Amino acid sequence: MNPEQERAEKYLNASTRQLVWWRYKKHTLAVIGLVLIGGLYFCSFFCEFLAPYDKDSRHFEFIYCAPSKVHIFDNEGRLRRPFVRAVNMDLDLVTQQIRYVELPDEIYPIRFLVRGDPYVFWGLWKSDLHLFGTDCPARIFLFGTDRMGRDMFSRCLYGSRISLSIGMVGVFLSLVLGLVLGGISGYYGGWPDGIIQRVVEVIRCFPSIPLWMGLSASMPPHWPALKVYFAITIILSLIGWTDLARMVRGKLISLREEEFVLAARFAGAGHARIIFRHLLPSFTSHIIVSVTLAIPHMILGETALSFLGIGLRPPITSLGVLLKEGQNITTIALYPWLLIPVSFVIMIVLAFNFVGDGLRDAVDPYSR
Amino acid sequence: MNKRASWPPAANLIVVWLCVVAVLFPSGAKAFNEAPSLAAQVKSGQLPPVDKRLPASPVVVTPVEKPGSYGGTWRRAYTGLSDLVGARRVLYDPLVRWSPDYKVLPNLAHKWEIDPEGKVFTFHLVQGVKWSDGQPFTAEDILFYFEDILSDKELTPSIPKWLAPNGGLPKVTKTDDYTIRMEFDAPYSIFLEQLACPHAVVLVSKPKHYLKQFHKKYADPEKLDALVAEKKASTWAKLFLEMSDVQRAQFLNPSLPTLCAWVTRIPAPAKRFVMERNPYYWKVDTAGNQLPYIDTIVHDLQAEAQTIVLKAIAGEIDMQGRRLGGMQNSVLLVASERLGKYRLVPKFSTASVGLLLAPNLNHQDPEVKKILSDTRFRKAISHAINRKEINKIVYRGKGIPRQAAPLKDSEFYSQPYENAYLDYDPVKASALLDKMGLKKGKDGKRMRPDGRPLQIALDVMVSIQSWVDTAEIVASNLKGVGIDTEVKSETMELFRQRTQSAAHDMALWPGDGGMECLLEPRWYFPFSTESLNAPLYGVWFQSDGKRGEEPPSEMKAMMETYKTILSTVSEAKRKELFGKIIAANEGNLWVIGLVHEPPDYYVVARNMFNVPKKDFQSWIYPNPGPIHPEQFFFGKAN
Amino acid sequence: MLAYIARRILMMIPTLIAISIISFAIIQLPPGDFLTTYVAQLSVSGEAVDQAELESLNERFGLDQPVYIQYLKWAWNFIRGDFGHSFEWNKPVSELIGERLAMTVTISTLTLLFTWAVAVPIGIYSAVRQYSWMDYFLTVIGFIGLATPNFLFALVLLWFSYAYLGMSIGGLFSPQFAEAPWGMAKIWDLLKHLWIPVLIVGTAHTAKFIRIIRGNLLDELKKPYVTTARAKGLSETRLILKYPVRVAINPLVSTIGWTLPELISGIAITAVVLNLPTTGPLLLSALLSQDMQLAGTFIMFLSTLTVVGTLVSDILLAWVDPRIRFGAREGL
Repeated sequence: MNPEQERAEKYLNASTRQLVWWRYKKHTLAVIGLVLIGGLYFCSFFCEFLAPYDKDSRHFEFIYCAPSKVHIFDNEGRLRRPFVRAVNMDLDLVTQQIRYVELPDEIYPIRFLVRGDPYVFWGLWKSDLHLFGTDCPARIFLFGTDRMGRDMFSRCLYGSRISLSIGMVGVFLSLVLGLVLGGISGYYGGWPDGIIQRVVEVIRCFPSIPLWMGLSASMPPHWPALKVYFAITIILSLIGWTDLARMVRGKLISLREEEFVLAARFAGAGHARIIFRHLLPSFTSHIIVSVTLAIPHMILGETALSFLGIGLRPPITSLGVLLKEGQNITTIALYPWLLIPVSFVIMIVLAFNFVGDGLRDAVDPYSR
Repeated sequence: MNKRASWPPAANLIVVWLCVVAVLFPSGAKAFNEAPSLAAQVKSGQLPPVDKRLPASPVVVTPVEKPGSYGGTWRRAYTGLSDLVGARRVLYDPLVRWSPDYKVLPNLAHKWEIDPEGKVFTFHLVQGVKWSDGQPFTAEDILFYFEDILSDKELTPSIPKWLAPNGGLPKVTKTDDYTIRMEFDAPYSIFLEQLACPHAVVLVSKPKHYLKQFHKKYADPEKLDALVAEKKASTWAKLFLEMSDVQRAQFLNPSLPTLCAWVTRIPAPAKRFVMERNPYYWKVDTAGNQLPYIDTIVHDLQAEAQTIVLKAIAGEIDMQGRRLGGMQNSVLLVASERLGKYRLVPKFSTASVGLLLAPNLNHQDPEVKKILSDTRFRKAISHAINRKEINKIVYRGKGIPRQAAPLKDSEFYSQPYENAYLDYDPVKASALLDKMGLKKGKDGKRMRPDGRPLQIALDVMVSIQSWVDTAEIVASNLKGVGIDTEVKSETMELFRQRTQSAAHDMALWPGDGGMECLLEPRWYFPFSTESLNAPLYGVWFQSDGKRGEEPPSEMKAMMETYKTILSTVSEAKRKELFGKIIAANEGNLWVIGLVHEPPDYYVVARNMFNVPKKDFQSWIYPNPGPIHPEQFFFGKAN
Repeated sequence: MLAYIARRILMMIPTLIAISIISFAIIQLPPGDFLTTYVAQLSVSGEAVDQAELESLNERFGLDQPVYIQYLKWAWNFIRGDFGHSFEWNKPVSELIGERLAMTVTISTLTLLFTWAVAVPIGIYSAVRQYSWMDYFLTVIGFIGLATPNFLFALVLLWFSYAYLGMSIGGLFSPQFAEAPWGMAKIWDLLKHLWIPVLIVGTAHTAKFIRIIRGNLLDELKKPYVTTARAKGLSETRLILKYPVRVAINPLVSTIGWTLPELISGIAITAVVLNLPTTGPLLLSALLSQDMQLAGTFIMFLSTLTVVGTLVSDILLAWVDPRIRFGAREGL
C-alpha cells in the first residue's frame, strides 16, 4: 500500500476519539491553550512546593520590593549559574519613596530543592521542601512583593489554585442544575417545561450584579472562610446554569422525536434509560464545550465580586482578591508589578476560551 | 430781644458727647471693603452697602500670612450626598469655636459669663449679625431652637445627651435680643467645650423667620398643608426636618438662610455642587475687608474615591483633605508633590492610636467573658503584638507605638499609661497565658478551662485596607502565642451591628479621644455603645441604669467620677479626677493600643495662601473649619 | 405571528411581577437598611450620630414600616408611573434615571457599533483563513477584551490617559466644557473622553460576536451555492461578502434586543471607575447603600428592558428567518 492509501485506511479505521483529537490538533491556539491550562492546573496543584515562600509570610524588611533581578554574569563578566543579589532598603528623602538598592559584592545562587517555609501539602503531608529558593539574607521575589512584604509569585500560584478550583466547582454545580432542569424541561414538556422556562427567564433577565450583591451580602458574617468560598461558588453557578439548561432543552426537544428514541420506547426502555443511555450521549460533546466556555465566566465573575468587595476576602487568596489589592491609583503609579495577577487571569480566560473553541470545531462532525 | 445766635448749652453738651463717641467708637465711620462682585450688586441696587450689611463691630479674623485679594473658585470633589461631611466642615460657625490649638474662642457669642457654680451660662451675641438673606440674627433664633424644636415631641423624639447631661434640658431665656441665658440643674463644666463641637452648630442654624412657615405653631394651617403636599412630605414634622436638618438641608435647600461664609447656589447632589459667597457674612480681616475672599466653592461629583486622588495629583483640587487620607494615598501624594502641581499640609490625628483592640467584656459566652475580663489575658495580648512590624508595614515606620492613652499635647497626658505593657515579649505573654490555665493542646493551640479550643474572632471593617492588614498582623502575632485568632473583615453596617450589640470577641477601631478626652471618653470608660469593649455597660451609663448590663463596681466608680467631673468647675480638680480614671486604665488595660499614626495631608494649590502649616484631624474639631477657610485666598504662585 | 406575539406579551407579566418581588427581596437581604448604611458611613469619619437624630431620620425615611408594606407601596406607585424617591440623592427616581439615560444610550450605541466594527472583520477573516497565524493573532486581540477585568482595565487606562495624554480626570468633559452649551468643540471633547469606556466595554463583547460570525460563516461557506458561485468565476471577495456574510451577520441584528440591556449593565462597573454620568454607577451605589426605591426601580427597569428586548429579538428572528418560524429552533 502506498502512503496515500495508508493514510486513508488509518482515517477510516480511526475511532471517534482519534478523529476528534486530529481535528483538534489543527487549531494551534487550542493546543497552546490546553498546554497552558494543564500547566496552570499542575502548578496550582503543587503550589506549596513550587512557591518559594508561603503566601502569607511577611518579609517586612522588603515591602513593595520590585521583582528580583536574576543575573547570570557576575562582576567580572563570567558566566555563572543564575543568582540574585541582596538588597538594601533605602528611603528617598525627596519623594519619600522606598527604593531597593542591590549590594554589588555578594552572590546568592538560586538553589533547588531547598528547605523553606513549612507547609501542609493539601492538609495531609507536612513538609518544608520548596522547588527553588536562595540563602538568607537575600530573597528571590520573582514578581516582587506587596505592601506587607509578601512574595507575589507565591501568592499568584496560591491564588490560581483558589480561582481555578472555584471555576471547576462552580461549573460542576451549573452542569448538574442545567442538565437536570433542562432535561426535565426538554424531555417532559408540558407544565414542568413552562414553569422552568419562566424561572430561567426571570433569572436571565435579572441583572447579574444586583443578584450577586444581594446574595453575597446576605451571607452570615461569622461563616468560616471555607463556607464562604463554597457559598460564592453556589452563587456564581446559579447564574450560569440557565444557558446550559436552554441548550439541553433545545437539543432534547429536537432529539426526542427521533426514531431511535421511539424504538427504545417500544422496546420497553424506561424514561431514565432513554435519557441517560440514548439521548445524552448525542450531545455530550456540546455539553463539554459549554462547560469549558463557562469556566472563564465563573473566574471573571469571582473577580468582579471581589472588586465590589462582596466576594472572597482576605485571608483567602484568590486572583480576584489579588486584583482588588492592586485596584488603586497608587499601585498603578508606583508599584505596577502588583498588577501581574491580571496576566494570570487573562491567560486562564484566553486558554479556556481557545480550548473551548477548539473542542467545538473538533466535535462538529461536519467541519472539513 | 437780644438773643445771640449761639448753641444752647444742651446742644453744646450733645456735640461734645458726639465728638467723644466719634473718637472712642471710630468703627462707625470706618470704611469696609467688599468683593467686586458684591460692589457691582450694591451699585445696581440689589444689595445694601457693605457697612449696612456688616454688624457695627464685625468679628475680626487675623489672616495667617497677610490680608488677601478677592476672587477665585475653590475646586473640591465629593462622592455624593453621604460625602457632604467635607463641605460641612469647611463651613464652621457655631456659637463659640475652636482655635487652631484646640482652645475655645468667641465666635457668634463675643463674650460670656459663667456663674461661680457652673450652672448658668450667659452669652452675649455679636450685635448686628444678619442671616444670608439680610434678616437679623438674634437670641430669638436660638430660643426658637430650644422652645419650638427641641421641646416639640414630633420634631425631636429624644433629647441629645450633650444638652441634657442629667436628663433635663437647661432653662433657656433671653435677657434681650442679643443676650441669651442657659441655666442647668447641676454644674456642667464642659458645656463651653461642647458648644464648640460640630454637634452644637444646630443651635445657631435655625432661622426663625424662615422656618416658622413650616412649623405647626406659627404657620397658617392651610398654607402649611399646601407646602406639605407640594413637597410630598407625609407630615409637617417631616417637611420641617427636610427643610432644616443640620446634616444636609444647608446644601440641598438653597433658600435656607445661613450664617456661614458661603451659601448654596446649585444644591447637591449635582455634578457640580456650587456654593458662593454670603454677602452678609459678618467677619472682616484686619484691614477691614469683608470675608470671605474666595468667590465660589465648587464640588465635583465623582463616583469613585480613587478618581479624586487622581484629580488631586493632577492639580485639579485646590484645598481638600477629605477622601485623600490613609497611608496608601499619602504615599502617592508625597511622591507626586515634586511635580509642583500642589503642596501638602499635614493634619495630625487627635486619636490616641490609629487602631486599638477592644476585647468584649460583655461577651455572651460566660467562659469567653471570663477569659476576656481577666487582666492577665489583655496584658498577655499586649505583649504578644509586634508593634514594630505593624509600624513598618502599615505606617512605613513613621508611626509611634503606644497604648490608647491621652496624647502628649493633652492636659491629661500620662507617660506610665502610654508605655504600659508595650514591649514585644511573646515569652512573657505565653507565661501569663499559662498562668491563667490556658493550656496548649497537641496542635499548639490553647484551650479554654472547660476543654474546648479557644477561638477568638477579630472584627474589623473591610473598607479600609490598612485596618485589615493590621488585623492580619495582630492575628498572626496572637497565633504565635497559641491563641487561635481569625480575622473577620465585614462591611461597616455589619461591623457596627455586631460590635454595638456585643456579639463580637474583639474589635478593631481607632482610638478616638486622644486630645479631647473629656468630650470623647469612650475608650476611657464605657460611655456609650461606641465603647466597643463594653457596649452594654455603655448603654447602662447612657440610660442611667434603666437599660443595658450593670457594670462591676470598679467601672461604676469611673462612671461616677466622670459624672463628678461634669459638674466640677475647677480645672485642676477635673484633671485630678480624670487622672484617677487614667490610672485605672493603666492598671487594667481595658483596651490595647497599637500605633499612633503619622499625619494625613491636605492637598493645597500652589496659588492658595493663608493656609497654616499644620492642622489637627479629628471629628470634634471639624478641620479645616477652625483654621478659618474664609481667609484663604488665591494669589500668584511662587 | 400575532398570536405568538400576544402570547409572549401575556407571559411577560408574571415574569415581571416575579422580578419585582425578587429585586425588592434581594435589596433587603443584606442586614440593615439605608439608614444603618448612612449612619455607618458617618461613623467611619468619626461622627457619632445621636440616638435622637437616628430616630427622627428613621421616621423621616419611612423605614420603620415592615418590608412588605414598603414593597406594596412602591409597586403600586410604580405602576402608576411614580417611581419613588431616592434617599441617597434626595430626588425623584425618574429624574435621576432620566438625566442619565441619554448618555447611557449614547455610550451603549457607540459601543455596539464599535463592537461590530471590530468583530465582523475579525470573524470573517477567521472563518476564511482558518488556522492561519493572522487568524490566531486577530482572535487573541478580539478575546483579550473579554479576558481582562473591566474595572482594572478602566483604572489603568485612566492613569494612562492622565500620565501620558494629559487629559483631565473623572468625567466625560474637560472642566472648561462641563457647563458650556453644545457645539462642535464640546462634541470633540466628549469623543476624546469617550474612547476609553467604548474601548473597554466594546472589547469585552467582541469575542462573543466573533464566535457567532465565524461559526455561521463556516457553516455557510460549505454550502453548495458557494461552490457553484466560485465555479462560475465570481471573485472570492465579492463572493464571500455578497451572500454568506449577510447570512452570518443576521444574528447580530436580530439579537440587538438582548444585547443592549447587557451593554447597559456591562458598562456599570467601568462607569464607576471612569465616573461616567450613566445609569450604572447609580445602580451600584443604590445597591450598596440599600436605597430601596432607586435600586428597585432600576432593577425593574433593566429587567423590563431585557424581557422586552428578548421578545423583540425573538420576533425579529422569527420574521427574518423562515426556518425558525417553521422548525425547531436551536439556541444561539
